Amino acid sequence: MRILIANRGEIARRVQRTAHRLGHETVAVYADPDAGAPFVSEATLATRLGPADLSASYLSVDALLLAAQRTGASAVHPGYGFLSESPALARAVEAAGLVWIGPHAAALERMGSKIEARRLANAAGVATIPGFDASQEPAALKTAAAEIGYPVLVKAAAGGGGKGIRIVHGPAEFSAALDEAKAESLRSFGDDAMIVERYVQRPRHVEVQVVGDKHGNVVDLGTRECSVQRRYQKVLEEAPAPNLPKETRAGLRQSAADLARSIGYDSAGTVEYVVDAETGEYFFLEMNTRLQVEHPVTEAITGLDLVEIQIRAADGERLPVSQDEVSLSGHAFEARINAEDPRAGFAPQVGTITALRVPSGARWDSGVERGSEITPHYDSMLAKLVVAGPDRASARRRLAVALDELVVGGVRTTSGFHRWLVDQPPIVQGNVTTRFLDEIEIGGGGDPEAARAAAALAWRLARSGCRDDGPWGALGEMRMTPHRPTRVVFLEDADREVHAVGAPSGRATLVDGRLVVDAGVRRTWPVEVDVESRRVAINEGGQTYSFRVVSRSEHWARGAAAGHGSAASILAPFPAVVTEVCVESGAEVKGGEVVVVIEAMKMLHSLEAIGPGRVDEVRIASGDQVVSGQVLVTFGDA
Amino acid sequence: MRALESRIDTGSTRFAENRASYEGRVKTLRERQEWAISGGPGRDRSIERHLARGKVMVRDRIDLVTDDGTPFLELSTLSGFGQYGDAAPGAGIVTGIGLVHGVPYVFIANDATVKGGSLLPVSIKKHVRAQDIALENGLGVIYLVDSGGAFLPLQDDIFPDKDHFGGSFYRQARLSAAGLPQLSVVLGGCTAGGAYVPALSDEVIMVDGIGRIFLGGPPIVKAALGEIIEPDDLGGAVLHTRTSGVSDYLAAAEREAYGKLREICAATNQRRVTDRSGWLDFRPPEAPAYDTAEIYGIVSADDRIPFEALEIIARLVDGSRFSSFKPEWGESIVCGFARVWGHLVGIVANDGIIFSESALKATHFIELCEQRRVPLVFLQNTSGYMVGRDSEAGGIAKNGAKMVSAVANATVPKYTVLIGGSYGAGNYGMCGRGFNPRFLFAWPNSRIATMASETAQTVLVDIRLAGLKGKETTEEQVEALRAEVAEQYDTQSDPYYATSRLWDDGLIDPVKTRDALGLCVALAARQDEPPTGPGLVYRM
Repeated sequence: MRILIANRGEIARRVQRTAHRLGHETVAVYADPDAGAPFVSEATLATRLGPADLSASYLSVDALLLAAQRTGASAVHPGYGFLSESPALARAVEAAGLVWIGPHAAALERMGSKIEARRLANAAGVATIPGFDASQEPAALKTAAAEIGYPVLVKAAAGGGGKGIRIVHGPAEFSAALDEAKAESLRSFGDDAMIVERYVQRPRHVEVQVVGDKHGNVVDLGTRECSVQRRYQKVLEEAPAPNLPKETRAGLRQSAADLARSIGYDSAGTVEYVVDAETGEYFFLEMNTRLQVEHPVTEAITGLDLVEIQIRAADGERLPVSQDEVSLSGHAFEARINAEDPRAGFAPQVGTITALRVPSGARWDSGVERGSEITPHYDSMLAKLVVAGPDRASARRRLAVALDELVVGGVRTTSGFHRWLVDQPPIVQGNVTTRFLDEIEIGGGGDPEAARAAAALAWRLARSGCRDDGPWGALGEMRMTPHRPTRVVFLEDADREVHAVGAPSGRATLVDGRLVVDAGVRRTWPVEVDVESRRVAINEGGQTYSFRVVSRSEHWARGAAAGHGSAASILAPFPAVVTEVCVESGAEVKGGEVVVVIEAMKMLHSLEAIGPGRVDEVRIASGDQVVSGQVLVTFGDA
Repeated sequence: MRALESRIDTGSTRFAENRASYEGRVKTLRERQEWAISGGPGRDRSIERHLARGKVMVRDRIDLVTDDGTPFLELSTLSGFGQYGDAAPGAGIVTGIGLVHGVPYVFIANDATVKGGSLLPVSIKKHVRAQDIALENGLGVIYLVDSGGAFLPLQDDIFPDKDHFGGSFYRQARLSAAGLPQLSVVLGGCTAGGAYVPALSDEVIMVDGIGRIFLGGPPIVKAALGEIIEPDDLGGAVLHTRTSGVSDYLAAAEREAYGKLREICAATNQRRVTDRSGWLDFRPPEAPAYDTAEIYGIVSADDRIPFEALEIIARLVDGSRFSSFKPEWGESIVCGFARVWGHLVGIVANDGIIFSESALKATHFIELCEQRRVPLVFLQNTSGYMVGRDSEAGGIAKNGAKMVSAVANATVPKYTVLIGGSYGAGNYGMCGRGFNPRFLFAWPNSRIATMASETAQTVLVDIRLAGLKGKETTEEQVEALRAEVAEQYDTQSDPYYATSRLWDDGLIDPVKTRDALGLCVALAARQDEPPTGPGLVYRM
């Protein structure tokens, strides 16, 4: 097959990898900002979709179909996100006579509707969160609440963003809470219709991977825990979900398979549940009719390639395993490394990846390489770091080690936050709820000062000295006296702030990208030093700190550009006529600011302040004739 | 070349005793170097004041200019030791050679924490010596100026003579004309004569707030003109950079100035130390097969017990490989070819008293090195040329003179290390200070004098007694005379006495000898081939 992958970045490369392994050709489609991305260059063929605007590129069914036609593609894999769950694309692909690598369009359609999905779940015997929306009568709502069982959630039918929602712990609070929620909903959404729903106090997000083929076979591939979320975005996933009662786990898996079978599901999909951590009860949330970001953790514990299963199933092949043959072994974690700054409220970061070192023994699914540009056009996920181990504890430890080894320079990422996360007691114990990250103060990121000190040492070790066999090169820092040099390295950090960092000699070595410092206790830091571009990226506390090393000459030049000392009086350099006075007494000026403009020999000359200062006296006015050396403006203390 | 085989038993009691004794000498050397760096009466206070003004210590200044992770060959650290009431550590000036962007420069840096950076007679000598080194080795000079000018109480020993203050400006102007960059950073007062150091420089940086240049400072201006003026208004960095143009660049802070200096050095179009011009054979260096630190156990704790030159050579040269010249003739001088840090050199080393044969062999070898353009390294350890009837009858005077003449006329780079005694004409024939070796270093066990103290005692006491013409002399009087001579000779032949007076370029720890020589020879290898001498090899 020649498979067009209607996606970008990490997932495009993920699909390419399996497709190429199976001997298929791939077609990359790209919007302009991605023209130089690795997923484009690594595909068999590549073609442009359009400009950065999503609706003209990755979200345009027409553009995708044209691209398929242009490149002679015979199949389309939608990846995840974008149009992966779009029945329109699936139908258009099939109408064009191409193979759609995904579930049949009807499955997409039916699971795409929340109401229909709930109905299907109920029909398949899968529990949904008990709720009531049949009436807006306060009394009826209150009765429903009692039937559902407190605590309940009273929430706006039109709701979102936490508005118009109240948690009600008992009947006594009900009416007041209902009134408040209605009023808020009316204000926010212009509608006060309410739903009463079971409130799960300690909710976990657990999901089940299912796969099906066109021959009616459906198997489940076990559970995944995705409770570690920030603003409904998954941050850390694992498989299998830990600490589930046996019946709960069995029930989740069975019901997911039943649901998928009930709609003739014929590809990879995921059934998501809310699990009550207290009771072990579980409720159907939704079904994702696509491959999911976190699919690698399932692959790690099943030994199966889910993309391969998708491609083979689409091609009409049978599933490679029966339910009995599915064996789950070990444990796996996935950390989503995003280009976000956890210390700045997870603000998305843009920039260039200046250094990249992936820990050995970990799976690294990524859309970027060293030199890749991170643009503001798409989501901030850079890569997924996946590790597996024979049991949960060892897998978690391996994730910590992998995060301590990872170096991603040039843009701030969440790796330091992840490193902190893996040591948090709820993660260690495996009893996280979806509220975990809302209730804890975010930490991690290492010690910036230690990072600077280590980076300065690494730079000196990589860069310092004279490259020569002779004594001037080989003798290093030799001195004839007991005097020992203290060197200062100027490091410019990601905020463009320059730090002068003292880097003592001795007791440190740089071997194979590791800085080893022996100061009583031996410590090591993974570090990437790019001597050519004067960059150092160092992993401190799981966080990569990126620095540019400013040379002594450059440091001088910056100081000079910033202006030195205080502004001196402005004197006329030659006889002229004043054409403009740009300041008045008391004005604050910066170095380089134009103070007076004069004209001589038919030419205008701007007289600038040589440093910052406050104008003391303006001794001339526009139109005055001045003589050479005449004081025009004087300055006081800034 | 064959590797030398050491006959030293490093497990012997004698070795252990020698080593313990030498480690004591090295400890003393280090302590005295520490003294030069930060010791001396009232130095703590002046260092504190210096730092409080935001100024940087002189050696740290040099480190802020030189390439990170590269050597600095500091010279004559102990100049002024034991002189001027021991109140002028290092004579208030640091000189040496370091790299900037791979290019070697001579540094001449005042130490304002010593008598305010005032120049004493020895300071001038050190300054001028550094400039001579620059000229001979083709090096630019970086002046880090922070000096109160000539030390006026001793002006007669500083100002008027040939190699005094004037000589330093003469050299600065000539160095510049020879295409060797003369660069100054003004970090303190440059008054009167001192003003000419920056003024004669090719490019000048002044640091705002601390750098000042004036021919006459505020006190002189007040005395001469009755004008009262602030130092910065008279000769501050802003005035000189923006108005007079005496300075070319203004630095807001000292540390920034060194960045500008490095920027200037990036465009001086000088050969790097790695740019070997090719006249001198170079192979990848190899460490000696024997540990250099074993020298401590080889040099006798007792000066009267000799030690073998080959044992020292085995611990200085690459792979301990040495091609001995004429090994079975004139054995009291060892000659031969070896490599020091990769560069080919000819070594001339004493193994006791110099006899006629030894002198002739050395002369022959020096001529050979001259013909082949191989630099010469002299290792001095001799009580001098042999005296006595047989020796005189054998023509020791003319044979010694041949060696002196050959050394004087050799145009290849010469380097001398005093590893033991440097007595009498042995000092001349073995390329003493008077014969202008490019660099001369001394070990802390070395002795330098016209003759050994014991000999001098006998000779001088006899002369005095002869002068008394048979008058009665008591045993006590003779002893007192002997003691007087002994004290003079012991004091003056002490290596610290010598290094204090710039008779050498520094007293060095023997384990650094190989490195110091290696650095020096490498400087010559980047220059053009030295001019050729007569080039004739006379068989002696």
